Amino acid sequence: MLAMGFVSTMVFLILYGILFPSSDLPVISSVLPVFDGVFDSGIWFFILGAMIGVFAILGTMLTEATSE
Amino acid sequence: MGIITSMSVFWLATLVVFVLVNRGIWVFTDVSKSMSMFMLEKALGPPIDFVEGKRGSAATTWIIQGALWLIPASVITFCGLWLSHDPEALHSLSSWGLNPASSSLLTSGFLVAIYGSVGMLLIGSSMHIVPELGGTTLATEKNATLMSFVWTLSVIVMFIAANKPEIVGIKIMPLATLLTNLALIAVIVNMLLTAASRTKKMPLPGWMMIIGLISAPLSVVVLAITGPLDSGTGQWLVTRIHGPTSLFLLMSGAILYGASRGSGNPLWSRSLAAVTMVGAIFTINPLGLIEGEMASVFLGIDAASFDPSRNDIVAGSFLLALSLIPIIALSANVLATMRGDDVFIENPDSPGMPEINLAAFMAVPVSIGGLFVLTDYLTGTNELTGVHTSLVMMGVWVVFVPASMGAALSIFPEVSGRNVLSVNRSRWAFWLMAGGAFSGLVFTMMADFSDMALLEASIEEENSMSSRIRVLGSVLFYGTVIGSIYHSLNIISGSFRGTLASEGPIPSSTSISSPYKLTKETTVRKILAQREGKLDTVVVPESSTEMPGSPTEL
Repeated sequence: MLAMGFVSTMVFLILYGILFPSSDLPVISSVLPVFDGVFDSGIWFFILGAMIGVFAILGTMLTEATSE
Repeated sequence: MGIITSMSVFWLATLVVFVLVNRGIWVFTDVSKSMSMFMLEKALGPPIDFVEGKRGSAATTWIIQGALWLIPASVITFCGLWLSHDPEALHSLSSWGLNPASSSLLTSGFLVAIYGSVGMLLIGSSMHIVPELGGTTLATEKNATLMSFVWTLSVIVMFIAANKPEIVGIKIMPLATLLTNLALIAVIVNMLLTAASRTKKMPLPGWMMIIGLISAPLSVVVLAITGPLDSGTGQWLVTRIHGPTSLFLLMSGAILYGASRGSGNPLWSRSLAAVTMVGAIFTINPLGLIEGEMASVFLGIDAASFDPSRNDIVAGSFLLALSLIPIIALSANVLATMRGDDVFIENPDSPGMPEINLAAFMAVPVSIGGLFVLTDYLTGTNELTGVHTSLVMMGVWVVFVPASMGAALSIFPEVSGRNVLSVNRSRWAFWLMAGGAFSGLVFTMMADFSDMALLEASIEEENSMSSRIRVLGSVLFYGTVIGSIYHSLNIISGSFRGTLASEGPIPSSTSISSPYKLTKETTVRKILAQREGKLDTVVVPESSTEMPGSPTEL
């Protein structure tokens, strides 16, 4: 399912590039500037790792509490 | 009023409290008990019904929250270490109005680690240890559980205050002090009621935890009444007693109990435990912050300049040096208890045991370092203050955090009814936390020494070597972040689907239980030395069975 999703995403992106050359991607091109300057230091990769860990804990708490 | 006079009043006050706790308050004992119980439960109204009063729920709640606080504490400290070599690393946060600096992050990381993590883990452990040693139950599980959330709120406020001291002209830190003390007083009253209902003589680790809890507010009250709280010396002294002394007593009780319970060995020496308790009260602990400014920030009063008299310097240095006696006594007692009658640690894989071992092992060198730096500060020499921050962090991350985490992990199955999810993950978490904190902070300290040497030589050029070492130090410290996430995941998952503690394997052949399960050879003395070991203790081989034997089929 993941592979299918990845392949279809790539297909749509390539198709968009052929049909609308030199046009920005909708939505994504508006969102990305918000993160300008965020990843200009290596510390952000470490913070990202910690955030993944925190979300893993939140996910664990939710799944453990709701599982039978 | 000098250091020695203030300390004398503190000693007297502690003695009075100890006698009152033991003897009661004459005819008012019953009245005060019932009134305190009413204040802790019914007087709180509907909020008390939001929490459950199941046995062990309070300790579990405090321990889980303490473990979770490890993550922000380690992340904030990591960011502080990183910003010390790359001050612009988080400049993009300025678009949100945040301008974090290395010093403010390290201070807030220190506060979150001490109050959020160490404080909550130790208080949670005390909620199991004190009733267990007194042969009773916690006076009110409901109030203790509820207070854990008040304490967590106070740590959040403390973190905000460390980074933004004033909001709309209002000082934030005193608010955190108010919330912390509100929860602390409720916990102390709860503990006193628990101690009052004890059914047997309480061993020393239990008293250490009770006196440790009481000594924190007691020191502030004593110094406020006797007067020197607005002086530099008074603020320095209250920082020393309120923080390190109180936490050291709590930590001592927790790891002495944890070492004995986890290894299954009886406490190696009661005399050394007594030396630890009395010594901790009668001396000035060298761990923790060297300056007294933090006391003024917490109390919302003006910081006074530290200008000790000659007598204060002599008395302070003497009491600081003496503090090594209880610290060495604790370290020796814990290590000997864990090893039992041979050179190996019993149950080295048992969650919590490696942490306790590390804390007991590192307490002595870190304290000696702290003694040098504090004496240097006290005498006004200030040649070693450059390594102060690294040394304080080392005390937190290789002594207090492992000690509190180790004690909490060793009692976790008893309080929650389940083991942590994976012993293997627990071992990984230990190595990541211990390795990350130790190596990361040692490299940071090396950079501090390098900076100090260049400063002394009056070289104004940027120290690129120091900056490179700091990069290495901060990256290595990241292991602590991953380790704390591992520990939290392990505890949370374990509380849901860890193996039941009643079904779990017996920790060792010498576990404290009756009947005494024998899996390997032991001595009669060792059995008698157990808490429940009596002449009529039944000794049963662990592999005994009622099934009739039969010949081996060929």
